[in-house]
Amino acid sequence: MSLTASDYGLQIGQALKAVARLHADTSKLLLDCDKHIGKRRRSVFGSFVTRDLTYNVKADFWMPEGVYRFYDAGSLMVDALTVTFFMPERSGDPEAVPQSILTVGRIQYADSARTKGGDVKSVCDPWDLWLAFFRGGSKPQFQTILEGADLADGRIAWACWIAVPLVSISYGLAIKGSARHSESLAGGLDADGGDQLTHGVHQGLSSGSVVGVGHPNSAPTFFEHQ
Amino acid sequence: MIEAKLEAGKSGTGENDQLLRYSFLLRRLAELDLPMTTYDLQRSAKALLFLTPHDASAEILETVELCDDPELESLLFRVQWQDITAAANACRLEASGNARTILQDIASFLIRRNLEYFSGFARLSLPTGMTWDGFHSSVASFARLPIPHLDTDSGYFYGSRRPDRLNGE
Repeated sequence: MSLTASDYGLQIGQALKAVARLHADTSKLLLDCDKHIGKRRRSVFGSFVTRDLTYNVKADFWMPEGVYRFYDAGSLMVDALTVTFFMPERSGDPEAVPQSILTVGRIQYADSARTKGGDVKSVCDPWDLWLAFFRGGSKPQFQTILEGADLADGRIAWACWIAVPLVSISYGLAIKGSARHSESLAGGLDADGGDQLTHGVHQGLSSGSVVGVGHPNSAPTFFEHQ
Repeated sequence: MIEAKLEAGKSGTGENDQLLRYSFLLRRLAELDLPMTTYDLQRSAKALLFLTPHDASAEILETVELCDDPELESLLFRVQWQDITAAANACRLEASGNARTILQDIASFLIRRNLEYFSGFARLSLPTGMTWDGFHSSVASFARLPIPHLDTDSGYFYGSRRPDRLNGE
């Protein structure tokens, strides 16, 4: 059957089916991440993977912009994943996300940001990795390990992350391609604190520095390198 | 004993931990009225299997910490539905006849429920050949569709008949 202008509805129907399938496959990926990255650690947000959806009749859309998974690594640190399905205008530049993205990273929260007696959930926002990736620099970069410090008004002491096109992940959490180099985005969310906080990043990392950390070819490898 | 979960997690905490309570039942199997012969009971192995779609390691470990009996701890096992899918798929290749059909059905059913391990993103075929200009022309066509006539008396325009006629008046 050839398509004509009046077949736009068919295209939309197929596109929505593809989106639904993308969600199903992403769900499988996240469940695998629980095993291979979570490694028996507590999911900070339980079984919930998204939020900020609207149920209102007045809406721009009713689909999630993304999903997340945060694993409690202790001492106010988390290993985290964020899938960004798309970027609506209200969240940023739609052109910045021409395709869905997987970001994996490690975040160290500042002890000063913790509420008295609170655990990591009291300082952790589920979109923190998203924030670091899209707000950390002028243009999102892929397949490169990036790092930042003193993010989100000092709530995040330091963070490092890598982003890849979601559909490039073929199996077993492998990420096609590799990190070629590392660049610092210190102070990306707070330009005033740049230099001092870059030093904080290196102090915070057990390996001493992210620079030259290697070329991870899978998400678990990324965490092993940190 | 198999505790199967699909969307929920383990229920109960502390002494009411679901798996802990079930593991205590394993101690009393001989007292239970099970549909098994004495011979079968004697030769059967005891185990508590927690079947989930997610990695339940943490839940199992939580129960183990509550359990003060090393023997019961050794009877706790976990498996994911995805493992069953993988096992059924692997076994069916060497099976034949009805066994092969059953294994195929099990794998297909579980895959249909998305209970399989991640193996990459599916690539659905999407129709091509439409341009954004086509989209706008479609909108224009939609905009030319006639708007249903609104009955000025009753405000009723959902059906072809007026409400009073529906009531037989």
